[in-house]
Amino acid sequence: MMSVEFINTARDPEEFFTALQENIDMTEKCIQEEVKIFLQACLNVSESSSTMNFIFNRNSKDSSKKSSIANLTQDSPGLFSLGIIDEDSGVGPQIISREKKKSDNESSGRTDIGTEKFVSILFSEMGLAPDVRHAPLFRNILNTWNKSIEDMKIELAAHTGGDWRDRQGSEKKGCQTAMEYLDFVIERHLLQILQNDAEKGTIVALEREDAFAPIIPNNIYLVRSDEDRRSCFACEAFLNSTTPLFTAINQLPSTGVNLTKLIDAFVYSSSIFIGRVKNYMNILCRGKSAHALLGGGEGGNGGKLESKYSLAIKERSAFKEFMLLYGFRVDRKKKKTRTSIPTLKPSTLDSKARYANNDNNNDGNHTAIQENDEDESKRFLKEIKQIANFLNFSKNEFGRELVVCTAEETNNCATLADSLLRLAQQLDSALKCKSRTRSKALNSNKSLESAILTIRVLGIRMALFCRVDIIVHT
Amino acid sequence: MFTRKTVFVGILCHCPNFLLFFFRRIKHMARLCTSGALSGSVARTPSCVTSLGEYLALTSDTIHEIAGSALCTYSVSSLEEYIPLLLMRVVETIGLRDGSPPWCGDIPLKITIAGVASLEKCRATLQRELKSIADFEGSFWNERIANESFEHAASYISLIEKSGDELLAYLRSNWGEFTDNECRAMFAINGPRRKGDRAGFDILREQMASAASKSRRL
Repeated sequence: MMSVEFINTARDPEEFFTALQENIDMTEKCIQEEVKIFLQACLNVSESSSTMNFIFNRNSKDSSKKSSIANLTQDSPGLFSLGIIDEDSGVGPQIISREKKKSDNESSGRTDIGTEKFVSILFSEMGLAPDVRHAPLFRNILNTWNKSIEDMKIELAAHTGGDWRDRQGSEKKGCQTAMEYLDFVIERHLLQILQNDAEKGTIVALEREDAFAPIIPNNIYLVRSDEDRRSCFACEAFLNSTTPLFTAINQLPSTGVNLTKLIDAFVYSSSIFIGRVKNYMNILCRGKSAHALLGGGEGGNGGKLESKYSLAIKERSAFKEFMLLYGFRVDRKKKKTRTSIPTLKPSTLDSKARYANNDNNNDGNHTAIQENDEDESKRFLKEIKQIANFLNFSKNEFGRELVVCTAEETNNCATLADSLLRLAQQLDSALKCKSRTRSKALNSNKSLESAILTIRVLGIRMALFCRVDIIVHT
Repeated sequence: MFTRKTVFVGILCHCPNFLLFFFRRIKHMARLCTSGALSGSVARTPSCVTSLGEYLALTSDTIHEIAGSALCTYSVSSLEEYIPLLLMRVVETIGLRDGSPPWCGDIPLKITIAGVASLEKCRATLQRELKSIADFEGSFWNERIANESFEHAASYISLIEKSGDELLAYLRSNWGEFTDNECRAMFAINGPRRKGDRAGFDILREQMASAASKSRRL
């Protein structure tokens, strides 16, 4: 009512804008305060701990949901009747605006619930618990909201003729905004927790005796799909403990100290993980003929330790198809066929040429397959050329000098190869976030990329080892 | 002076690693060279071939279960090219008497008709088993390459049965089908209908070279 009266009495837009400034500032302060209180309840900074329960317990979300709902129903029976959570629909929480709640409460005579209670109900319905780890998500949302408000203010200033720059300066003099509060929480609390999570989670899993052992299902008769298959404990734990890091990396601004700290934390955890993987690989492969054939190294360092045989294997189409199954594309060297003079092609509109093309197309696929097979047989010849000595049976005492893996070792090698490749694939997809500009900024970070690449290279190495070991066994 | 038995016992006494040499694990296809099945009177599949089939089936199943179909299919990929090649190497090794123990003397192992049938059985068994192991949904199994490779090996094995003249005639008409080493080994083999003739291949090669130069002149 007040504002309507004011609009009617205002003489010009500038006066209207100046008079409105105080109201806008006050409203914004109130909103920021409300958001801060809401965030404080959601982040629960004082009780957020760096417990590692979530790393090994996949059903922790469900259990926390059940327990929190049970507590709530015990503590305050009849809360759900307020209409905050629609039990019948089962869709999720119905977040009601504060004004609406007030009016409802006034009309029905119900008591108002506090932000903390509201948040606890909200989180219990989502199957989560208030935790400081949600901070990056809120920051992202709050940033979008702040931007939209700023746009609206600029629009308002443009219409009323006010000076926007002055207002921005006066705004900064106010108390701590919700965004500043979030940044403070992230820097002081979240970073430390995430670093601890990533480091401890990885180390705890690596300390297990069966860290890299295959996880065999209890029911051996159950046919499992590839999606149901589990990686080894170490890889699962590494992924689970670094996922919050990656989420935070994707949601925080692309520049700043926080992001660098997060990246450093990931690189540190990955270096611990990679070190252990290399040790385990060394134990598995040491002394085996397949290891000697592949060059004896891990296959990293730009392929310096790889043998010619290993390089020849990587040229085969089977390897390229295998890489595609794990979502990796093998770069092919482009042939330089460009000439200075452009080649002349017969017109496709010409009937003769068109008929000629059609005739060729009938056999086109067949010819392409034949050419592909010929290339493949050439690559095979190149491959066996590298192991000519090995194919000479007398030189390896008719197989007596060849050392191959036992059945258990083969299983361990296969599990490790699959786990590492899947881990690299998941980390790679986490790195490529939705926003293109962000993705570019993250991709440009060499340390992140090289850590994931090393994991991938180790996985490839183990896959090659499995293949060559079977050939040696044959 | 010394019989083969005394030499054998002497080595056995003086070399403690000799027993290990015998009892260490032997790889499947290389073991085929020393198999008695090739010089026996009854055609049978050597045990190393059966155990290879079992090994591949077991390994493939386990990898499929533990590490998924992608790694399984890659692990057994190209075996359709490797196994026929290794079979041909077996024949080559026998023909060239490569690496035969010193007490065997200069006389190479004679492959009997039953031995040829046994080799053919090995090929058929391995092809059948490999197909059942490696050919599943989403695998990299190439039926055309597999057929070509195993047929190539079968054609090479069938040459052992031929007499000297038949072998000459076949290689003359199909010059280039096999490599020089493979042809040389085939000539050197003591087959059921011919004696090994190492120089035979060199003569044939000279003849083919002169014929080729004549045709060029014309």
